[in-house]
Amino acid sequence: MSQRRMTMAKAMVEGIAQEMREDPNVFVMGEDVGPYGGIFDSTQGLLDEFGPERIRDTPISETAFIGAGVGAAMAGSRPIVELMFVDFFGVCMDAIYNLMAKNTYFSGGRSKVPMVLMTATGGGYGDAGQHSQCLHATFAHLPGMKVVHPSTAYDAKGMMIQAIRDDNPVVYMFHKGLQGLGWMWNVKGATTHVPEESYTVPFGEVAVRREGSDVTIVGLGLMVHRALEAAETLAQEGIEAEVVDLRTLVPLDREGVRKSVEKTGRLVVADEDYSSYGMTAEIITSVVEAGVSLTSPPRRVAYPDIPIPFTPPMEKFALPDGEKIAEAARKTMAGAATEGAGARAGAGT
Amino acid sequence: MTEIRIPDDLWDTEKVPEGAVSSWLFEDGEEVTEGSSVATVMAEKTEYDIPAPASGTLSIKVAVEEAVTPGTVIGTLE
Repeated sequence: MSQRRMTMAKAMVEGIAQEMREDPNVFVMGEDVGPYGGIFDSTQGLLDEFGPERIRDTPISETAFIGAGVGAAMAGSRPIVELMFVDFFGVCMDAIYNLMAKNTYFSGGRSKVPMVLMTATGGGYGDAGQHSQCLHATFAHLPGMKVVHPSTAYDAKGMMIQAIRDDNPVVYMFHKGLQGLGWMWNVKGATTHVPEESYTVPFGEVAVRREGSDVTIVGLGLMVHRALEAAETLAQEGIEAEVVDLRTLVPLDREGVRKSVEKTGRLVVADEDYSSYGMTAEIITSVVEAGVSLTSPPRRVAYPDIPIPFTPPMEKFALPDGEKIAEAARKTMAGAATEGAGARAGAGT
Repeated sequence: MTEIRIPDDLWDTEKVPEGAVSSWLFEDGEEVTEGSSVATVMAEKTEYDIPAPASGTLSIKVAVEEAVTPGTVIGTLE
């Protein structure tokens, strides 16, 4: 059957547009979401259909417009607010984690905050330390918000619709390298079939992207695709890796991860976010706490605990990729513990 | 056989002499349906969708990042 194939950016936009047609309370605001269409194409074409009242360009004050989004959500709207780069959260974190994330609790449940905070993450294109971070674990660490991160166009649309309909605040993160942008490198696997009709992808369910019996590789967003590349390499060496896509960090499908590791007995977690105190630690802990018997020590492949370098060779050296994930899996298969574990400051394999 | 051709008036070549194929949404040899986007072309920071002019099996003639102008045949459908 022939497919209706779309980039992740177009799938997100289609999800937003379909909800906006159904519900007049949904609107979008942020920097360059209007005529520009979002710098990572997340609102491309919406202004033409919905006009400037519902697709609102804002001044460069994240504190003001994210705070305004929280107020609008509490007053009955369903705003989608774009924080252009997740790296910019520093100036507006009070609005995010003290207002957006907590107002439902503080009001004893009388005020809902049905808001989507949409934001771009990730590096690998020489944009340096203030425009290349992932930071999903920072948001997932703080209670009160859902944190979701699609890896395919199909999920991008379904999770966007799910996020808009959710009565809780949802941080919807997307990796720039998965968007299918004409001006930057792309990952082919992110462009998938997208049904034309409206649908949702539920939060808190992992997706097994590749089945395997020897080692489980857990990832999120771009790292799912890097893990699939690693799995292809490993298959040529006789190692069958199972690739698990977390899809959402909050809620987190710990049971889905556990089931896979119970089958394989080995675990590698791949993450483009920083290594220490991060997603990799949370996943490994969840498995260990559940009493799953591991054949060999689990390993993490994550971003070293350093500011992201601008210069491409240095950035490439630091970024987790398919080869680093494959190497971690080989070491796990050999039963090796991480060198210097317990005293280490960085990451790698 | 039907050619997949970049429309002659897609952009003004006096201002922007050439663009490039930025992505193929389908692989060589895959089946595509008339009207669905098969490729994107980028010229001076503007991206254009190229729809399939007919249904059929795709044969890619111009690879990603190769230069194109309005009128270029970037692929065919059998």
